[in-house]
Amino acid sequence: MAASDVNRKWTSGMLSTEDWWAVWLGLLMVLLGLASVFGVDLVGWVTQPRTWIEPGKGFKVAGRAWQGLGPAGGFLVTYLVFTAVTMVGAACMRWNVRKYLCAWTVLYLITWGCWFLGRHARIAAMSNQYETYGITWSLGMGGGGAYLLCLAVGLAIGNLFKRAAAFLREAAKPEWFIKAAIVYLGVKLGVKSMEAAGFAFDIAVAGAAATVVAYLLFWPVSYLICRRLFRMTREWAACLSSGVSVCGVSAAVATGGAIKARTFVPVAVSILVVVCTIFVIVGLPPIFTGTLLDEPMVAGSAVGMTVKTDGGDAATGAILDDMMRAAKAKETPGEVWQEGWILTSAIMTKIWIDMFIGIWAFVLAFLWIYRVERKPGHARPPASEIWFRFPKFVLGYLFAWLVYVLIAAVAPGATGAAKVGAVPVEGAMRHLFFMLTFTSIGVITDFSKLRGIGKPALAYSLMQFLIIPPVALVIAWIFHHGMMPPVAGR
Amino acid sequence: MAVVEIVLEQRDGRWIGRGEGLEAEAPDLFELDELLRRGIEASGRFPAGERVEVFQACDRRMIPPWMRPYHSHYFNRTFAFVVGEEAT
Repeated sequence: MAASDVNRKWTSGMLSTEDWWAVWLGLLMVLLGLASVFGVDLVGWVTQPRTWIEPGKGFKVAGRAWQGLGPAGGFLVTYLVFTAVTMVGAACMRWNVRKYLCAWTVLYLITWGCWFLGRHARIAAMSNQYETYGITWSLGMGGGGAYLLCLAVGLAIGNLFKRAAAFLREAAKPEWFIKAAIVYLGVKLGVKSMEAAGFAFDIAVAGAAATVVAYLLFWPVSYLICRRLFRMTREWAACLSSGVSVCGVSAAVATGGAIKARTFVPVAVSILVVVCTIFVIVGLPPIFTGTLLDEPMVAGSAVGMTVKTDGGDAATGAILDDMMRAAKAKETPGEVWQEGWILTSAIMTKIWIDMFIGIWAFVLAFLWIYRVERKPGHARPPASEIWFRFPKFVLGYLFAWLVYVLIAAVAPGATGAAKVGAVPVEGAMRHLFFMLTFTSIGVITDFSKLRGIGKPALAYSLMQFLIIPPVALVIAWIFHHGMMPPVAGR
Repeated sequence: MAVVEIVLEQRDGRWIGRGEGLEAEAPDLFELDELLRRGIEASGRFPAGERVEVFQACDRRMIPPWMRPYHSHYFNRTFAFVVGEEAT
């Protein structure tokens, strides 16, 4: 049996899947960041655009110890380090490394260009920053403008320049990038937990509870609609229900596997998931910002339950985080929420959903054998299925989170030094990988793929746009209402 | 108990099981199981009365490359039988 092509041992896929490589890419930087506890800054070289009015002041090297690099040096070092590290991953995953390098470089430059432009003060500055930049008005989008710009450029390439898109797809890996970014986000949560451990814990518990309710509600409702209203076969109904109500592509594949569906069924559902996600990324943040400014954590959690891919969820959460904080700052001058809590709410809920898919698929496999195929005792799914379906990047996220909680608990005197290495990872590196995710999502989204998937597309759209969001909102409100992000600077 | 490991693939809607010198193809998994059981018995590798577990693992390549980043595991399954006994 070719070990690299099947999941047989618990270590299977550790060097050959993007999920595991997100863990390695994430943990490498997390561990380098931790060196600051011993007084060495190994991650401060990372450079990112910052809000600017004069282009020359638009780059920022993250670490104090690395300021000597200058903006150009920092940009170059950041590119070289991440190029080298991701190329090792590409080689281990047996991609064409030469094509990857070319595509990565172009993708990186496009992303950086959009990121830099999107940070112009007229786009990004919040109302309390007007004086700093000498301006009287701004779109006040924070980092959201850059995200949308990356997405728009990616979508234009993906749909109007198909040859360029095919070239860039060698390196446009939104799931890899976002999962690595989520590991970096674990650092942010860890640092925040040093200051507000109770609040972080409350978000985690509320997210878990909301997830259980969502599973019990979304799936049966979606299945019934598919069966009764759209007269779909059990095979289609099960895969589509999982795709739209649980966690998108991974749920569709897991369900297809659990019920032994023909592979084209989860493939078609996956196309719907990927394409429809774009509309949610663009649509939900302004709607929630306009209607839920008093309940930002509810909005974040509802995003986690509504958006079906990890990349899409994190993307929507990031835009929502920036939009809501900007709107709040405008509504109540001087009161700016800390960055990242709304995003954390979106991601925490989604992570719970991701983690449960293995258990759900396992249960479904038994239900299918006993209730649908009615062949009990013939064949069974091994319990190892739960592990093979477990999202491994979550391990990196939890490690990054808990290691900082541990530092705060065991060596409170070291928290200041720990933050020196944490800030570049949870800040500039996370932002870089978020931006790469946005561009990549755009590049891989090809609307023309929807052709020929009529009835399932109609059913999916009905549930994704009209049924799931309001129900998700109610569930999120039940478990998250009243929770407010801490105010920055307090 | 003996274990036989089989890699599953799907081509043109048919299931193919391959491994340990065996190869079988069937329109559904239950029929494939039966063919594999007969093949294992015919191979004479295991004495009558021995319990054999057939572990089937889907080849990751069954999932299209663009979908593998989202989820790279289709399914594994096992079925067991006793050599020489009629299948239930």
